[in-house]
Amino acid sequence: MKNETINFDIMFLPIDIISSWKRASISSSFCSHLLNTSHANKKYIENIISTVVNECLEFSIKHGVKKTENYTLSCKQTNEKTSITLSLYLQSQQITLLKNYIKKIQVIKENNELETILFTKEFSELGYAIYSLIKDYKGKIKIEPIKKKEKPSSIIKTNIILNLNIKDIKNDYQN
Amino acid sequence: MIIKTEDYIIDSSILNKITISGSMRLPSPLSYDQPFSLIKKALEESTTILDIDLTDLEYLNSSGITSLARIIIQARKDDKEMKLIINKTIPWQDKTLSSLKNLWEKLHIETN
Repeated sequence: MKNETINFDIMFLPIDIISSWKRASISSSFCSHLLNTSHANKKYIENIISTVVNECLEFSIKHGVKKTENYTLSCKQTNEKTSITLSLYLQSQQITLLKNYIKKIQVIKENNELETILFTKEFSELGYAIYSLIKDYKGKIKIEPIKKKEKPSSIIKTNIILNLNIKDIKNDYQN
Repeated sequence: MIIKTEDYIIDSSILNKITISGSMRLPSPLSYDQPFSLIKKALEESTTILDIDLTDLEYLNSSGITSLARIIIQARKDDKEMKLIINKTIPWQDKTLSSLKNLWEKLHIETN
């Protein structure tokens, strides 16, 4: 297998997607098309990446603050993994909630609390999206707040990094 | 009745059957109320198992999955049987919809 790395960033203003919702879906399809170099199961992998990118974009648009500031979605793909980094602005309280929510998901036994997750208050319908990224797509999520020493603020630029294992995805396809 | 937009089609013209095709990525669960009203109505009027054929539905976002889950919970309250016909080659269907079975014991999943 050839060692290929694909790397690109897209910048967007959340307000632009709010004003024309279809842009989220179009951008997701665009990213999945660029990231997917596989030939054998192209449609399957593209569908996964598009689903994941779309939920990331929806999260940033619905929960991000400073909706007129530039947000960035960085995508990187190697033979081993696909990494999606979302740079957005969150309230410090949201970062804590998100970290706790991810911890909660990781200890949930398979589907036992599905109803609670589906109708979670903290992140509304995206609570389920986060659950699905972790449980269904075996995604690993890291939250990295970028704190500025000189200007402490309750609004913090944050990187949310999602790693997907391409081998796992390909195995799912074969099964 | 049939709802047809440039992105998706919902067809409830056959008794006890709904077919949803295309791509549904609406902005919120609330925005699914109108298109999914066809499913709710078909469920109320169903005389046997209600089949929901999703085999040509390429995408449904988390807002849509949440709305579908609400309908399944309503079916549980009304003791109505449902069947989701899914397409195994569309990953979100295979990964996500199977878990909705945990919401209602009379929800059947059929792989097409």
